[in-house]
Amino acid sequence: MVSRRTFLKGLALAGLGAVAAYSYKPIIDKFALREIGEEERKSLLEAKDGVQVKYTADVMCPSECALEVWVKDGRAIRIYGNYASPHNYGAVCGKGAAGLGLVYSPYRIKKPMIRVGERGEGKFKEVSWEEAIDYIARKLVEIKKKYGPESVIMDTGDVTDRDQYWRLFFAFGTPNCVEHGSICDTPRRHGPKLMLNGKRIEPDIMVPRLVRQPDGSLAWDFTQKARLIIYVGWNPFLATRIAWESRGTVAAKVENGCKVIVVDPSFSNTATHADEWIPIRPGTDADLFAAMLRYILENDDPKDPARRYIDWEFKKYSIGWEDFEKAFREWWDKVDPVNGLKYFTLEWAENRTGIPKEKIRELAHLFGITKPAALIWGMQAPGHHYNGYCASILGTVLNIITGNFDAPGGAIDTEITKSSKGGTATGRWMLGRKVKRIVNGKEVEGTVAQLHMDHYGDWPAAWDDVVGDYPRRFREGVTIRYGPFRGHKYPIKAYILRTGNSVITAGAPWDWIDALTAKDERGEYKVELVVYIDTIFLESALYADVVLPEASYLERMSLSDIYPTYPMIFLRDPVIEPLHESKKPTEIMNMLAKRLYELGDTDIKPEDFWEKYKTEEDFVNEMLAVAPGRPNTGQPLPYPQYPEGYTILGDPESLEKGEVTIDHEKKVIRGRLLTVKWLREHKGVAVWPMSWYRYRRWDPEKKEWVPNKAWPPTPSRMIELVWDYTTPDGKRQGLYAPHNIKIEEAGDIPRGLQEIGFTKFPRTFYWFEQKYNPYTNPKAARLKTEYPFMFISGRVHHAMSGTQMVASLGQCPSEGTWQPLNKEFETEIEDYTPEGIRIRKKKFREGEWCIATIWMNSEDAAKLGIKTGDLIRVVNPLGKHVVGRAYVSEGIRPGVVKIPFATGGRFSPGLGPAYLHKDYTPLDNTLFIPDYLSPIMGQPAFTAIPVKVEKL
Amino acid sequence: MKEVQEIVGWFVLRAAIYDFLRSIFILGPKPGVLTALYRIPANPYTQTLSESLLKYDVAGDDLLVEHTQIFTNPATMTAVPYASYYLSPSKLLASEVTISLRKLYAELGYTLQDKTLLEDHVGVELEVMYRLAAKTLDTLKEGKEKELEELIRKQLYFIKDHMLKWIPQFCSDIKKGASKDSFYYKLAIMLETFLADDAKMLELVLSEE
Ligand code: SF4
Repeated sequence: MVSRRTFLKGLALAGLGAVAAYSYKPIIDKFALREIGEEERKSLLEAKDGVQVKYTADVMCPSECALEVWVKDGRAIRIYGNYASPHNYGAVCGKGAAGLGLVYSPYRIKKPMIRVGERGEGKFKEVSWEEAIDYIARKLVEIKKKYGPESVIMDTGDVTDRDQYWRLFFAFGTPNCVEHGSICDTPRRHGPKLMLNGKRIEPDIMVPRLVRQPDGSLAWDFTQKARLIIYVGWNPFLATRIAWESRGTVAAKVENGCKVIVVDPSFSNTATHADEWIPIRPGTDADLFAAMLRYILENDDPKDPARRYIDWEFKKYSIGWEDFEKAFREWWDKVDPVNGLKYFTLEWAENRTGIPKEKIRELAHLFGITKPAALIWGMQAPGHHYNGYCASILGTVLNIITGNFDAPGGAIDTEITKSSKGGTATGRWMLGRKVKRIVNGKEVEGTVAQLHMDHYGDWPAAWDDVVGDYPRRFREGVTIRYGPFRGHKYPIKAYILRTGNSVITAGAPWDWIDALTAKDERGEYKVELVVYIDTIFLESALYADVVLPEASYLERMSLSDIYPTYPMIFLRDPVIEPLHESKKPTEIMNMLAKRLYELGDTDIKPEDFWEKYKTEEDFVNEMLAVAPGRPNTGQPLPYPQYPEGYTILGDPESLEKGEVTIDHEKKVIRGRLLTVKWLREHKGVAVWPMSWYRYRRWDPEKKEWVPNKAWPPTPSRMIELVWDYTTPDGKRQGLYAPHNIKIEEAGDIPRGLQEIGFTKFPRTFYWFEQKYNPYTNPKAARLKTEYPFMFISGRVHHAMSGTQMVASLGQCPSEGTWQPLNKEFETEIEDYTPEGIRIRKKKFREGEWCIATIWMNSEDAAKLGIKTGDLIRVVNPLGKHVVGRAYVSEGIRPGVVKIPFATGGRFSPGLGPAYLHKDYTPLDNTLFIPDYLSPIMGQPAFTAIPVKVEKL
Repeated sequence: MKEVQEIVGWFVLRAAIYDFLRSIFILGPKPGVLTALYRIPANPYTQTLSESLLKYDVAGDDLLVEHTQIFTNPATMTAVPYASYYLSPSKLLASEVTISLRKLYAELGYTLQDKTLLEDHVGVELEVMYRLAAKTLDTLKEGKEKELEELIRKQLYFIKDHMLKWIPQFCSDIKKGASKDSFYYKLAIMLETFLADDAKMLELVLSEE
């Protein structure tokens, strides 16, 4: 043996000959690494990359909180709340803080993939972006040629930064761009929309507020003014978390002695923070509100301080009260066939809601007498009720007539007070483009908008991009019934889903699966193209033909502006580079636009896409150009230095400094337009001053408050209690008017209205019963015996659809629907240590891990011989059923079962432990009845469904 | 000098094998990558691989689907091609492991240019080995004995102190997602054995005895 030295020497010598002859050429000359010179090497090695602090916004839940992210070596290492935003004011919840688990998850979608097996089989092959985009574009062009662009649906799911996608598809020529909100709480938003052109009413408890002081300065105001909040079916602590609302509810209680009452069939997480819990029968929120309104109207006495419920000043700021009141009172003498009692009386409401009439009286009285107060109703209920429209109309009216609307400490419509965003970037203007179609052999012209599947189809009042009847559209196609294209029929041939999970959340999963896998006689899928774009892989991806990896929320740019009570906006700023092959929405939009253009789609113009938006910042800057876009109204006036009632544009700084131009003709005050750059220099947040009573102004001549006719943004700029009326100059106006005109012109009553016996959208107050509620609708009474329970659903924030991959959150029980009733299993679980996240394998014994459970009352359970942990089956009248473990407690009204939203029965692998429990956890939407569509806008009635319960 | 000749032969072979491995893990089973298998001098490592290829229709997608199902498709993947998953206590990607490799590569004179990858992707680590193996050949040609020793030492260190700490587990995860006679099953076995053998050979070269 030679020594090492000699050996190496020998090797070197011998090598000369043997190796010289051998010249190796690499397989590919594309390398992942490149060589660096001495200088670059030195600089890389010596770089002391400290921690950078960056600001962005979350998407882990609808709260979309403002975040502070610490970045080191190009890696996000910590997530905190951002103090600069009054929305979450420095707070971040456990789930938000766990976001790195999603961004750096090994199970992210890393590359584009194309399906190779059948839909649902989950078999894919990796492809390049070019191949994937080409595949999609070719299909789209083919579909457009054969069936028209309107046969493509672009659905942007749950996350609010959707504009790039909508813009592209508006340009492509389809008006059918939707989002999860399109099938979520539309009845809840209906009342505010009709009367205020708003959406969601929230209590004025968001602090801090930026408020103009008497000396002209701005100051942060932390005072809680609310004295009573009634949450009906609204659960901001757990279901739809709104960071400031849970914080504010507790603060209002502690700091201002505010009374909090929760009306909910279950003892919700929010109820645990309340002074009182009133368990109501599911689906009867409108009944409660109607009785409260009747009681207030019958017992109001302006002269008696103990009964001065109504603030009659409201009449000055509204139109149509007489009509509304008359229509409401017309019911008072009618007898309800269900119980033989007169409508809206306390006895009547007691019979229907199951709440003692004394309690209802007390509630009505308390709400009438306590000022300021806010009546708030929720998303799941009545937002998912067949007649949730009646509830949201009554709720809005109750807030208005008691003087609480937009009063300090009262009820604020967040839609019309938050900052505007989007502007021309959204591409909505393209909906006005003229197009021609051959209808019944004749060529007709109309706008792209007039091809909308719902708005001009079965659901003419489906404003705000509402979707009526989803999976059925895929099977049956669309028939346009209103407008110039009446009679035009088209199929749905492509479904593009981005950051959503429709198969689980947008209707009955079995119905969705059926629609997406239905084949025609040639054996081809009826929906010819299904695309799934997201960062994570959820069930809907299993049914896609193409899966595209989108940059995660820490890697892309957009804006967040969720439900604040005054104008603010915060930037979702990329804090790290996109991982893997994921791309940002702007890039995806441009790539697809370009390919469509190359394939000859003449609707796509380079100057509308890649030539215009070189970077995502270009796009977001255009979106910001309309901020805040609210009129200078209310007290204290946000900008006393500028004319009252004028629209405000520009960053807070320039407006403050007076660096503005004022256009008196258009009534616009224009500062320096807000930009991404400005936001970055201000911790990602822009906040403009808050004011109240934004609908009135002081008239120095009359020496009284008068309507300012600048806000709310209704057609009359007044609060509207009638929704189809003629103005003194003969104009038909009101939120229902355009839709009634469509109906009259077509002579065709929409199917929803027919179902409830209406011929058009009512001019003012209306009432109708729930189709399948055996307690309120005589036609459904027969269901009572066989299906004695009512099924309701509710979100569990930390176990929601898309974010279950953060396993540790599963350990936190909540309500009766997320309880440690697991079977024994093993999983990887993360520990949070000062050094960061640590994963370890752990065996969880029976009863140590939370799973989706079926919550039921102890009395009911005793009768059926069920105890906590027993396996039970819940069956709906269609025979569809779910199986799960019972959780038995007093915390839910007898006769009710509650199942958490989209947490059980999850069948996409890669969702963490949820998948392991899928066979004995319930998937709530399985129980949805596909024809249970609320009749005004078609929103699925996801909740208050009669069911039976069986012990297994 | 027979031993010496053998070792030189090994050095030539390993460069080709590392090249093949980095290509197959970074690019997937592209035709160009697969045909390269037949250019590699006869050896027991790639032999079984080429044999296993016979059962595939090279014009079809089978192999690509197999690759996607094992490494990419979140619903089916059994193996995570990143060291972080196996070595970082967080099991998350782009971990401190990735960052330490970034520094190590800089020391070796490289930096990652393909931003769709991370430094600890199996293909990138194999590319580092390929680069060093190719450099070893150059150094051999030039007869630079000191450099040669240094270079071999670095490679041995990288394999033993880093790659062998996670690759065996990674390979057994690949096997979980592949049938016994499949290309990827064979690839898993080959990768694991080859790395271990390479380490042994380099160790031998450096040994005092
Ligand atoms: S409340 Fe929602 S948005 Fe806010 S930090 Fe938690 S998960 Fe994120």
